[in-house]
Amino acid sequence: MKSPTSKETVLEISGLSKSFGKKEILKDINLTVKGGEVFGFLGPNGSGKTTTIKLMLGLLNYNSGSIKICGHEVKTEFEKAIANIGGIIENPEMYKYLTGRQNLMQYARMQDGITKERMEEVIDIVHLRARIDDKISKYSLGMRQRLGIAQAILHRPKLLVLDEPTNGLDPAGIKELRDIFKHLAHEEGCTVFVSSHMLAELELMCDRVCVINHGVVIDNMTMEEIRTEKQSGDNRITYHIDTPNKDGAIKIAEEMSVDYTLYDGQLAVMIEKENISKYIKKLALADVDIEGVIPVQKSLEDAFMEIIGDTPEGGVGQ
Amino acid sequence: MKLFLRPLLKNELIKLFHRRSCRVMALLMLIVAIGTPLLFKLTYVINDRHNDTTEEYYQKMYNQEEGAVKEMYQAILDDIALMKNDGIDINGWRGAYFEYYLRYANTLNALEMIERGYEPDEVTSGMRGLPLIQKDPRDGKIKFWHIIEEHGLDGYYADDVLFRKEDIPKYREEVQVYYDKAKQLLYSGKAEFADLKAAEYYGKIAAAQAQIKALSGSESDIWERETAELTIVVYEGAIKCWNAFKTCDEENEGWIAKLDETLLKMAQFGADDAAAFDKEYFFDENSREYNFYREVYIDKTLSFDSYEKYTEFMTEAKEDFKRAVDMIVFSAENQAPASPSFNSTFRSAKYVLDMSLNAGLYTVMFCCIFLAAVIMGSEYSTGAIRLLLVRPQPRWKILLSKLMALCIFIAISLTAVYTVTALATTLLYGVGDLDTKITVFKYGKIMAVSPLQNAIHKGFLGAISMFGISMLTFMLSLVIKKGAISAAVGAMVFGFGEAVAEFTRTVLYKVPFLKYTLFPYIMNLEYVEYDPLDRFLMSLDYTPVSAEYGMELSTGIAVIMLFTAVILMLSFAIFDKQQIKN
Repeated sequence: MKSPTSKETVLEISGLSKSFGKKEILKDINLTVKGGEVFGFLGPNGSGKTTTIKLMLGLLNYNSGSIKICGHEVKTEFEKAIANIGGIIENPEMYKYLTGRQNLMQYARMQDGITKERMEEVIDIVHLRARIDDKISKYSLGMRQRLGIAQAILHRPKLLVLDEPTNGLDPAGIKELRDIFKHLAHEEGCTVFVSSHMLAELELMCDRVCVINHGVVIDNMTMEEIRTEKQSGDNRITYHIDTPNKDGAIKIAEEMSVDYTLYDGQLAVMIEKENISKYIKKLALADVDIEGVIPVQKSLEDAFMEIIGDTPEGGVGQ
Repeated sequence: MKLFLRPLLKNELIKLFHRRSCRVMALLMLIVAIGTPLLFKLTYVINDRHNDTTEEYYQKMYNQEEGAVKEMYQAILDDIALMKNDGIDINGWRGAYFEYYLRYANTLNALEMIERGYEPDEVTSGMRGLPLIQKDPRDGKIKFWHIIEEHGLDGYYADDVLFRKEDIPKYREEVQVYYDKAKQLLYSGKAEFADLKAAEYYGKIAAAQAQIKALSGSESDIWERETAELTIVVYEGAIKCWNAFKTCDEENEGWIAKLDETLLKMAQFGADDAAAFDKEYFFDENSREYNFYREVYIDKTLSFDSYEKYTEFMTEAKEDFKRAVDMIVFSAENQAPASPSFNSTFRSAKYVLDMSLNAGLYTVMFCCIFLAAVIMGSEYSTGAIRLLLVRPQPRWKILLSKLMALCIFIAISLTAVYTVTALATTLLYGVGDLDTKITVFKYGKIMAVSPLQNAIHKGFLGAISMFGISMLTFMLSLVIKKGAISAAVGAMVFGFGEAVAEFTRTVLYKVPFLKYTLFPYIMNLEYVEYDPLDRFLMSLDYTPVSAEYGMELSTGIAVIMLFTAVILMLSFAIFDKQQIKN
């Protein structure tokens, strides 16, 4: 299967709405994912991420709007659309009484053109060679996640959809998974659509992020846009000043008209990048011991919290 | 089908046969297939009464007993020795009649021993085959039971009176008549025996005809008229049967015993009926008889609340009996005895095969229902459905492949259980009586088939039922979406279905439309058609008989197929539109 070019639209969602009974879960969702991207789909629990993914995979029916995968509408051309997509939804539950290989064979038989060589290749990609002939009831969660990815990429999909893929994994497992995603994006040319509330993970992985809350897409931008745009109008940087003589440091800040905060015993100053060396120099001249000056960069999490408004409903789970 | 469904079907078969539950079920089926005939064989071997000849049995009884009763058994053994000497084989078709002969022989012996000084208690307690001198359980007193009406050797009506020693000559005189008659029958050959029975029945026909003539013709005479007419039909049929008996082999005596049973019921029916509707007894609420009959016959009176209904019933009973006679005559003429389950013991390979196959069939049915519930249900409950449905395959193909896997399982299980059961039975019993034909009543026809043909037909009907119940369970699992709960519901369909079936059959006479519903047939397709003789006996017992309400095997098969088709269409429609929310 040919890898999508960066200009090709792999996923196009427009005007998508979904209700369960009277409860409206998604409201007029619009988003486009281009080929070659690692696209983050960010939102707190209950925001509509999994519902959107289930709609993309044809597990749920949508009330209005459209979802096109590589130009094929999911509702009307399901088989063509789904042939271009691979996915895991929540935990990839497979048949525990079968081995990893038997499970992969189950899915391989359901799609055309999956060769034995491809099976072996995929087993290597997800690092399961040593355990592939064990029953998956004996697998750890991380191994099951990797097997889940294996079944999703068997047919070289143009779009790989991953719903909360790092849920429940330990740091080593998360890193391993992140490396696999990178490999898929760079080596296999696969567009990755990953949903998560694990913000740090997306920050490290994604080119572009879409934020959803209460079934509404709130923002859709690149990582760079997030980091800069959210700081517009204020080019100051927050620095933690680690000093035993906080009073001395505060006095100098006041003399220089630098904003500062004392929070939880920690002193932080808000100052332009070009002025921080002046401030440090003055502290040194006034004999204020400095043990450390740490710049605090605005993270995706900060941006995310700003976007969703940090309300109890929009609380970010970890 | 091969091209587009093969990979999916392969998937389903791999999943099915790798399940631990599937392996447990295979083991269970194997245990039942081998274990049932083995248990029957063990029962037969351990319970050696099955092996005993009549002589051996009475010898054992003699050895066990003491005192007067031992002396009574000695007399029986002497009788048997005499008969043996005279070339009379009491283990063959005469077997049942020997028991009745003993009733009179024992009574005469007992009377003689009481005259010699034994107490009535001593000669009667624990003695087999002695109903004419008996302790009445109601008051603990010894009574003599006068024969007031006799039906062949196996039925009598008696009137109890307090036993008095001074009446012994009178009792002996009375019993001697029946004893002589019984002995004459035992000593007669087959043809002579049949002629003697026929002669007795001609007498009963003449009596019934005389009774009809004597009736006034008023509407209230209808009870007596109908009963007398039925009596004529029964005894005319019985004469035909006895004539056929002359030429048939020993295997067919099952029918003859059944005929005797019928005649007895017939006689009881006439007598009870007259008593039940005797206003003098029945409508006097203070009489003992009223309460007794009310208890016993309440159903009868409810069933026949009008002359028309009674006439209708009797007309049907007469037709049934005529068909039953046809079946007996057919059976005798074709040397094909009754269905294997009738009048058989664990000695008969045919019977054991039939019983073992029944057990196997129920086990397979239970396993199939369980699998039907979990094959789809577990996909939902484990969450595997989410990965199964995100493939470039239409949902109907996925569902169809599962259904086909289930059907393959049903077919393999049935074939395996049948083959193993047949092999185990043959191994334990040899070919035995498996090479003889049997008379069955199927699709409204009397026919002679081999036990194997009968077994295969039973399997065919079982497979249809199984398919129907499995599909119903399968559809429920699509709605319930939980493997374990679906399996529980499947078990409920199996267990509760029988109750629903019984209930439906019972109310069919009030709601005839119900005969076009699934449950009266699906649990018991094999028993939808009773043979005419069974049906006649059951109607005399006032048991609801399915056939009376137009339930036939062919209708049953059509109804199950139709319902299953609807269930399948619904299943496909549900699955196609189903949303996977969890």
